[in-house]
Amino acid sequence: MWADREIAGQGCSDQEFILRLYQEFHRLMFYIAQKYTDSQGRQEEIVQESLGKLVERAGQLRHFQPAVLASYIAVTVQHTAVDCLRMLREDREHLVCLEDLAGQAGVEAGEMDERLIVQEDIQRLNRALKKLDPKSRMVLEGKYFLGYDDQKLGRMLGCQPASVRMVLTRARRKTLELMRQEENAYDKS
Amino acid sequence: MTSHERLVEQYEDALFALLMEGVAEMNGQAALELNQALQRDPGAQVPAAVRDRCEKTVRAAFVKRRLGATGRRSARWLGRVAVAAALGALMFTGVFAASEQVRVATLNALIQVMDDRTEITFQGVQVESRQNSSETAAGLDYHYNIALEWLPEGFELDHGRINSNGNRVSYTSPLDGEIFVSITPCGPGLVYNLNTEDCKKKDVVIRDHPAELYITNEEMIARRFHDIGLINIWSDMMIYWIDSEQQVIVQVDAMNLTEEEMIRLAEGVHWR
Repeated sequence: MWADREIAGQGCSDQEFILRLYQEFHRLMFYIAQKYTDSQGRQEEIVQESLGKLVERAGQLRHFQPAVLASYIAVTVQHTAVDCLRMLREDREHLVCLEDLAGQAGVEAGEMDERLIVQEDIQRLNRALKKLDPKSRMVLEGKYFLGYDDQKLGRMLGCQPASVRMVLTRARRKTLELMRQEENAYDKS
Repeated sequence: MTSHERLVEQYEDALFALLMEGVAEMNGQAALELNQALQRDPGAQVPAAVRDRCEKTVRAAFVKRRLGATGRRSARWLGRVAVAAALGALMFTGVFAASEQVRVATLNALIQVMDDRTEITFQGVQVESRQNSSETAAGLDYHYNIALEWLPEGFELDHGRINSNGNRVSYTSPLDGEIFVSITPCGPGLVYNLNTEDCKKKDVVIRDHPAELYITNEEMIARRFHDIGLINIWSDMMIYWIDSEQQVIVQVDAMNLTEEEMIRLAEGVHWR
């Protein structure tokens, strides 16, 4: 299993690495694609498009730890699914993963707290991301998981690259506000 | 933006980069566990044909990447569209069937026949005034910019897509039959793969264009479909041609049709 190796894909070409990655994770990729569409044809399109994105970043992926690699693959498929279906339906506002429907919160932007980077923060962020609206979540994942540049994020969001910075700032602050709310609720209890 | 605001933004950015890395690891562990569970789940099995097609996508992407990296874009689209339109069909007709190195009007296409596929690589530079559309046919219903004059009985529109790589539409029948029609613009560096494994090839003509019809043999039909439970599929064919005037590849895949029906279907393809 990939989890047993420190670094996946040592000693093979990029192509062999991606093919091995696909062989290892294809069930997960299709499993995620199935969450977005029942059509087998579309699921295959989503996985194929995702593979194209993984190929583009093969050199980078080779150095990821298995858990980060698995996360990268999962998020890539999720983003690709939303992209594909958005293109298909031309209805970007109504496209979310079924799992994301619960707990969408509208949050005002807030000020930034200085925080220590501890496990508790990571867990709190993870929970906040799940409550975040799909657009904000996607832009944060695109920026910090997938390493997209402003050009790519702009295309994903349907806005100019120059506007991406502001969208990112809003998304970060919404998330921080959610984290703060959770922290306050915990303190009160 | 003030200096303070910029510093806050940089701080937030760095904080998120660190925290999101932690989230990626945390979620990745869950994804690894899910993947292991799926490996043991027979219900999560992906059909071999689908897996094969996805692996081919990976190989094709690497071929495209290698071509881009080594600068094999030496061939050129020459001349004006008017000249291309006038000469295209003639030049194409003369060399298509016989040669691996084919010049389609002013477009160079390298056709490589491999064991499991046929790969067409287009080399050149973009022609600015390309249209990539046939004349819109009156009275036909276009779905995803593609219309068919004739659709075999029982087939209904399933889904499609429109994107920069071209248009594609599919139809399905209740007896597992599927029809796919795709129109792909031939751009510089395009690598186009056709699944021609275990197929019998026939040269045909579709609306004055030389085309190739590939008929999948029975053994492959059994492996590809019957083995995964799609026992109603009795034929699998693919036909493709390059429209040198419109600079597109037209591909039609269909199951459960006769050769005559396949050609009739291809003859009726329109796009816009």
